[in-house]
Amino acid sequence: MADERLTEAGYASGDNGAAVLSGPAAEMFTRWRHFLAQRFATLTDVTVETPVFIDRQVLTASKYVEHFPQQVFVGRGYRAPRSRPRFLAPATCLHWYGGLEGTTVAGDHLCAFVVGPCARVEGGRAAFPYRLAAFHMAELVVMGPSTVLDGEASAIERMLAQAFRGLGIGGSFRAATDAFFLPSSRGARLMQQLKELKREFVSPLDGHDIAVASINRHEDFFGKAFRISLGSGAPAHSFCVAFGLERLTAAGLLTWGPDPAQWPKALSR
Amino acid sequence: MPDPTSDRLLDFVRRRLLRQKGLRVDADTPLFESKLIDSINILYLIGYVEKGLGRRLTDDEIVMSNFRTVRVIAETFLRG
Repeated sequence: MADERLTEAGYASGDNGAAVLSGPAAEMFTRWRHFLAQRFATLTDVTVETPVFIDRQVLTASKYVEHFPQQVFVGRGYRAPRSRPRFLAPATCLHWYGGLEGTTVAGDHLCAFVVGPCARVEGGRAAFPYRLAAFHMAELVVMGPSTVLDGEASAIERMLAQAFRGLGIGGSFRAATDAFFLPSSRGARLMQQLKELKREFVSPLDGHDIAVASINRHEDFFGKAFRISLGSGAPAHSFCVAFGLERLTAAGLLTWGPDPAQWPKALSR
Repeated sequence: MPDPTSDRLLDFVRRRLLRQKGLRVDADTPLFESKLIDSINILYLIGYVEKGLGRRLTDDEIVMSNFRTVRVIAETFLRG
């Protein structure tokens, strides 16, 4: 069974929907992160490490609290239950957008590789090993004019599909139907579906279709929300390419096994 | 050549979905690229199609290639 194979490889279920990685699993986690950073190195203007807490104002401005209140984790001091609540980041790209608030994108193009811990409850519960409540996300976040970004997102989709297949991870990109930045109403979901704003690389793993990467076109949503402009004064468009590092690690361990000698050369450090 | 199905849908789109007066919309106007349809009136548009079909649309049918313009919607779903 998948759970037993993962546990033997050091991918263990921790408390409360998190995973504890050790041995081969920890090594693969590190290698995936390195692989993605290298794969996007030529595109990346800046690398960003994000913290576990995120400013409340960022969650408010992005309408995350309004659209997905059921997914937000809030923490308080154990000895100070009345202390100011601290919010846990549900997505790394929100940190980046928040940091750019009120700015103009230099040269009308900015590409950041953003990595950090995240916590969210999707669908009201976590499901080991793929849908964790606490995980690490790596995202390539690209900002610019829509005329440029549409082509770039499509090119990255082709590149990623080729890269996954080259690693022996089967599957293909397809339109996703879950809400990811617009409200979770049926109308917003249908709009997202019609415009194919979210596309996922879905791979068959142990009898399940698992999304191991997603390309999320935000149009000018975050450009408007955070007043991030282009040189013309128009709101910047954006998209992100997102990976859950624990999910990739689980997929890799199930595909190649626990022995690093059997892992693809492209995943070596 | 007049197309009654397309004309009826076009009339629905003009009268019910478009709030801005003075917009020139014909059967070949791109509904989404022009941002004429938003997350509210998409529900009315799909409801109109489902009523005409007598059934709910499946996820596979709700793709841009089926909804790009009034003419495409009519030809895909509403022409008997």
